[in-house]
Amino acid sequence: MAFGLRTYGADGALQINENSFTMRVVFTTVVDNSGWTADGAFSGSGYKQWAADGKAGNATACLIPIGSFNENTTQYEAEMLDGVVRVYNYNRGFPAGKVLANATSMRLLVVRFS
Amino acid sequence: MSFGLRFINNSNVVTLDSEFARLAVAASGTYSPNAENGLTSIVTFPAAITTQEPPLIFARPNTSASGRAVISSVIIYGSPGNWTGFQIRTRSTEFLQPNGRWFAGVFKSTPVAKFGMRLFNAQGGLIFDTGVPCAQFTRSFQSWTYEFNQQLTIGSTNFYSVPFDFPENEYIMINSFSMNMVAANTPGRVLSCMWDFSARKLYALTTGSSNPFAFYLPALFAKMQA
Repeated sequence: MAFGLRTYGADGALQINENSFTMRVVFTTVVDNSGWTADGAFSGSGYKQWAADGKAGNATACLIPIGSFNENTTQYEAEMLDGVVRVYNYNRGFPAGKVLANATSMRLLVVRFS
Repeated sequence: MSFGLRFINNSNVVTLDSEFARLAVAASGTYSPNAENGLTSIVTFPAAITTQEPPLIFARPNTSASGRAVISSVIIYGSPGNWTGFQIRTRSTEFLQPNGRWFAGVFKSTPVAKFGMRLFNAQGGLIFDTGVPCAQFTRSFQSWTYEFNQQLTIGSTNFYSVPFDFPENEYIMINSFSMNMVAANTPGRVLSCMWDFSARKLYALTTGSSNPFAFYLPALFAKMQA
């Protein structure tokens, strides 16, 4: 290595070096099942969105199940756009299904990796 | 940032700084079949993870010369402040038993190292400790590509793939596989992840009785060490 930083654990193993990409949360919120902006696909379907410092090429938007849920609970779906993260309460590629996600809430993480 | 430490990697990306907490490895280990006649593995963390929200679990089935490993029926056990473990199930007796490695990631640090380096943010919160290494990003995908469909009595299963060449040190985040996704009827579709070592291909599987093709589930991969 010509320059940079490396860290080692107590076991002597290399942890971080000059080529490492870590993961940091640039935006997070709990998404609940209300206040969806209708987008016309079918009754009740919609999305919510927030500004987030990232785009599809440098960040990933993950929805993490939190709280109690069961085998009939369905999750929201996230999409990372340019500077915006959007969460849908339905399958945006399948509006004909006319079924809404029924999770009570989920943790949205926008994880930036570069 | 007006003070502290910032470390930029060879790609001009900030790897570490004294502003943001990184996803840190809170615990790690192996999993092996120990329940349901070898179809299921139940893992207990070495110590409970005390975050309010569940840790992110990353898993990597053991490489096999042939056969298919499946990560399904993911359940994270515990409650806010006391996460105790998780479960992985294979698909059936026709698939490899659940054997592999895992780690649990949290967006906080813990003062455990007796030597090394610690970083604090402007509010005095500990955000890095060399005893709690950062998980490292390897790749992610916003969605998967549809490959084929299989009809069985339990329902219709769609198979989707992402480009992945099975590096030994890359783990996939499995929390998002623990909850169903929307389909055309109310139970939705069940999610699982299949590592086809025979074909060297990674699939996501959706199973339901009315199962659409459109599928948007992010795939996030990480490793524990450089």
